Amino acid sequence: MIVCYCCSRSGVPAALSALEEGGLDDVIVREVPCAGSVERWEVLRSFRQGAEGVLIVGCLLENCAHHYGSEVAARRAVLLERTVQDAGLSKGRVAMVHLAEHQPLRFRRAVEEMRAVIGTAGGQA
Amino acid sequence: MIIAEKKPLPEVLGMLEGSSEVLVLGCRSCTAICLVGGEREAMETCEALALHSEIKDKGWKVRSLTVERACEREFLTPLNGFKGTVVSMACGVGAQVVQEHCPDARVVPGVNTSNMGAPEGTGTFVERCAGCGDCILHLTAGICPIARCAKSLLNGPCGGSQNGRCEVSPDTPCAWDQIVKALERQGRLDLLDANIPPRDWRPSRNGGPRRIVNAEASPGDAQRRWREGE
Repeated sequence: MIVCYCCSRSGVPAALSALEEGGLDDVIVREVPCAGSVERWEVLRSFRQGAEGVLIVGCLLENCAHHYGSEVAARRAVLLERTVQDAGLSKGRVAMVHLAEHQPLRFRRAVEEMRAVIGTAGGQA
Repeated sequence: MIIAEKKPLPEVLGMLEGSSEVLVLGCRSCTAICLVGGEREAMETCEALALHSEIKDKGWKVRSLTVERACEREFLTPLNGFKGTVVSMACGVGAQVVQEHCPDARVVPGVNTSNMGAPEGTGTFVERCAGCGDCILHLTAGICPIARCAKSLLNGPCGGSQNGRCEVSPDTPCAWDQIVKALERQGRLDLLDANIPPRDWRPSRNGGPRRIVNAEASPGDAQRRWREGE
């Protein structure tokens, strides 16, 4: 299961378009007002609730409606990645995706990359 | 305020060996303001510890709690009788008061307490006070040479001051350069004519832990007897 925290302006429309095309049954989309608003504890709790990978999907840098939310989210994703590894999961379980609402392919590609990371390590290992 | 840094998670995990019940204690005062030990950070640490416990099958029962000020016992009543392990996200003062309040608990630090400082832009905190116990800010244009000069010089600047920067690091402004410029701006350069004499370090750390007694608030004999119900 891959949990995607999606910005309501960019991530959600892109994710919904990608979901409509099918093949993303292992994806859970959680809508957030801005990628920068995703709390670190929320992401960690997602792993406890069964997520094997987490994507934080926000706007393209410098295109964020909240000016720097997407940039904050990217820095947070780096710190989270380290925390998740320290907690015992393998590398690459948290990733930041910057996209615009008309880029469902970029969303799908990010999901596929996360699947590859999970597949290499195997589940919640 | 007191500035702290988060301890690396592996270090905290190493302190929890043998624990069963773990309480991550956040503090809404200084460490919350410097973004390492408030409610959000306590919840994050709690989730990380719980995740580690589940992955490694440690069996820890982890929860988080955030109090108004961990350094004052009246805010610690929710911890009454707690006997597990407390991961303190408060400063070193808070951690010790929690340990005094819960003598049967094992209190471990979740943060490294660093200094007394102030924010310098978002997310950056700089030391401002060394707590030396004998303030001379009136002589130095409100800029503390003890905390902000790498050598704690009372009469500066030294030869290592270059273009307003300290030789220790180009990122560090020279405190004495700042002092001279501030005195110039204030028209008080005459203060530099007199040498500041060597300071008396006795009010600083040299006599062990310092005790400050407020003469009005500290209870007298009659008040103490009344409180003790005599």
